[in-house]
Amino acid sequence: MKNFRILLFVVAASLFAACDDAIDIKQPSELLPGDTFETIADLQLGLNAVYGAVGGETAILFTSIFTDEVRTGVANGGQGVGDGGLAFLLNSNSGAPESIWVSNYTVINFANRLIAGSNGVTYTEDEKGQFNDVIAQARTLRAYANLQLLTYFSPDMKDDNALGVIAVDFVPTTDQKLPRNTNAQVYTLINSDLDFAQANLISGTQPGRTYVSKDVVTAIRARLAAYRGQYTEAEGFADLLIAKTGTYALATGNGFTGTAASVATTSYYKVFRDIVIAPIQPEVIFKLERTNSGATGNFYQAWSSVNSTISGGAFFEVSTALFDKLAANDIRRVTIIDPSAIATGFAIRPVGKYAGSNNINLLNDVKVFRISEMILIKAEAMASRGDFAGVATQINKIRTARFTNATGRDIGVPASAQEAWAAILNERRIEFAFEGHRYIDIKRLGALANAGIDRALDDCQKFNACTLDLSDHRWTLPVPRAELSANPNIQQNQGYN
Amino acid sequence: MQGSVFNMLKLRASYGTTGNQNILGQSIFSAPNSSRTLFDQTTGYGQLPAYAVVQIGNPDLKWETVEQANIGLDFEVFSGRLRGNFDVYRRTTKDLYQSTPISGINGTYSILSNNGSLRNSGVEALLNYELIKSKDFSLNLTFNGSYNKNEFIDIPSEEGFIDNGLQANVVGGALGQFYTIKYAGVNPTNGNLLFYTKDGQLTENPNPETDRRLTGKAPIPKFQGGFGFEANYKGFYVTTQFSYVADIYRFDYDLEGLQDPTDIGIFNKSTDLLNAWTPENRNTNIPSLYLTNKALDASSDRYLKNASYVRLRYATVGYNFNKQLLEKTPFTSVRAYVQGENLLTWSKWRGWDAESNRGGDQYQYPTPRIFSVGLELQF
Repeated sequence: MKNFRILLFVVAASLFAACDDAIDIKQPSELLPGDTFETIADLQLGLNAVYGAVGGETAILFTSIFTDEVRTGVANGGQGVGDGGLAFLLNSNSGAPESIWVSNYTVINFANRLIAGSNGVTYTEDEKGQFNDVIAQARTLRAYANLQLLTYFSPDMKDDNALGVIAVDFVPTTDQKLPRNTNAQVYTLINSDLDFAQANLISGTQPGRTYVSKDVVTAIRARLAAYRGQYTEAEGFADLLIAKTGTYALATGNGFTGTAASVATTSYYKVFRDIVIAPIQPEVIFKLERTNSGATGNFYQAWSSVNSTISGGAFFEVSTALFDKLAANDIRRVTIIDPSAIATGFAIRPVGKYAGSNNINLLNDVKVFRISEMILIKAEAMASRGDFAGVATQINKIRTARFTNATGRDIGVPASAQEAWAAILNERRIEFAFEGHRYIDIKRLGALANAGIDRALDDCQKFNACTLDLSDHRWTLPVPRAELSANPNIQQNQGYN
Repeated sequence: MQGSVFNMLKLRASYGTTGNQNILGQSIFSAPNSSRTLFDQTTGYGQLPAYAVVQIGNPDLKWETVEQANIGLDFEVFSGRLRGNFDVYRRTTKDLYQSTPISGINGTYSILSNNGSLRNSGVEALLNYELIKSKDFSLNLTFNGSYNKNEFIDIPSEEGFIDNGLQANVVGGALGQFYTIKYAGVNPTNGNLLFYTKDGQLTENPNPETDRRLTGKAPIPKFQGGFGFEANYKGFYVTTQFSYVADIYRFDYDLEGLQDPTDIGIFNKSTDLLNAWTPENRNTNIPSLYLTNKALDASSDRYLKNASYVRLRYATVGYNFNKQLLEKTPFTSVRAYVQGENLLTWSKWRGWDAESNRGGDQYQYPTPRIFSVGLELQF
């Protein structure tokens, strides 16, 4: 009986205790923010996520369709037509602003989480440099993402008081509804990131060019200064990289004879097919590595359906106006346009800049900074101070590398500032076709060069969209509707309301 | 009740509150840790392993609570020939778990959270009437139907408004109410699409942000139910069941695709396009094949269509063999029948299938039509 009582007691007591697993499920495998980063190796893994978040494809595709780089292709099934992309349809519901906005803020968010998590990392004095290097890389990417945001969403980067974007250097909470900061405030954040990076990055020049180095910091500074119209600074930064002639040589068209087979022997072609050139990679200062375990590349179904050859199902082809700018002895013609077009006499002109790599079609690294951009920034600086002969020299430096012979190669000395700007804008159009520059270039330089959207009548008449006034509000992207609906404090850009 | 027409009369009433913790999916294990921000190992840059935030936590999560009140009446009259029940109900879901917009600085535009109270109120009826009941012939009519009003009674955000793009949740409106630009038709002068601005002006170029209006239309039906009859005559029998749904709107993207002129030559098209606007055919509801503002119809109600329908859910014609005939056979019963399901549908909907609970349909399999022939033998 006594035993029974004890048993009863035990049974009764057990009713008051229970396993909480069903109601409080906190699995041991859960990785909470406070536990994620404990060592520098953990931070390195976090950094891989920051790098992985850096996009570029959407901006490149948007730019090519919205401006004047493409026309509808042989296999067009409504792309750019049904969605109004070729007809300058751009509003807060459009896909590109929504994607560019959130993808850059994802980079910033990941970087901020990494920086916040790094507070819990312990390291020895010997490891301090390594620790700071990781943070410096994250901050460089954060600066780059902010620069991208301003490029597309600030109405005027030359005006420090104009609306910028939301400057976020903290891990936000989901209930925050922040207004936009001014450009000056965003510049302060960018510059503090770049100053820290310059002081703490270990890598001066990065051999594979797929990670951030001090050279990348310099390139960001050069572009930012040029976009702001601060040409003295811009030229100074550009010169630092141009001086490294052994490292960042211009790739050439040497070896190109006019045949499709010979294109593949040139170093310019290899740069865009991501083929390693020993011992030192020319041209590229920074590119985003794109490797893909799947069968499709990062530009799959962007301009072409299957591949970039003439039979690869081209939704879009290189526009007539751009094609007309390309000389037959310029290696850029058969890089911008897929070399398979040579066989058709360029009747079909598939976009060839992202033809593929690693045996995967339409998979290519995204080129962010190339040395030719630094040279053309220097040319802009020269144009701004009236050195027109200098402008011609810089442009011809690039053309000399790209052309296979002197026919039609060198440009003459521009007679006026407008001609100088026009020459720069024209060279940038050819040099950076399909690299996401054209939209911001027309916005920045169009008025100076007295040039804008340049579409051939045959390409554009059917959409009733042959030109877009330089004062149009669509030269700045709208704040996306998804942001507006969450954030009543955000300011929309003018013209979209 | 004696002496009255009623054989049975019952009044029911209930009220209750239940908590719903299965806010996502069928069990609590579908969302075991949504309150916490979590990192995880992912594939990062250059296919290298990485630590990335994979879930933004919502520390304020709680159960949805459902308050339900119900008054019902069950009855049988005329010697049980007419049976039925009526129900009036009101069901209020508080702290509704739904997608809520957040600023893009979080790296995403929405998060699931408890946001608002949704009320369903309405009436339900079920009727069964034995119209004819004799030795050789019987005819039985059935009906069931409901009216349901679905509306938000509270949205706690500052604006009392959740803008999800083509749909918006607003106090007084149904869940997923469509929020679109009003489509006006085809511009007779140039064949482009015409829309209304918010204040009723015609425009070819509406603002997809500010010219949207609440339509009062939603992909949730106000009326639904079914009706049918069973008839028996000397062993032959016919059974039918119709179902209906009314006052429901959805996007007919199949029709949109078939009428889209921008990809002619690549995809199949509707013959509607033969009536497209041309300078000689200005009075038409099909825009020019070369219209320049096609993209804007995606933000409009051009393809927001009434998806009400009446459908013959099934019809069966059969024969039960007479027991006396079967006496000398090994069978106790033999029945032969032909049945068809979803044979007929009456609807203005032009897409593949009016029947769906999706807000928009494209490339979905339609409800199948099934014919069956049966012979049932019992030993």
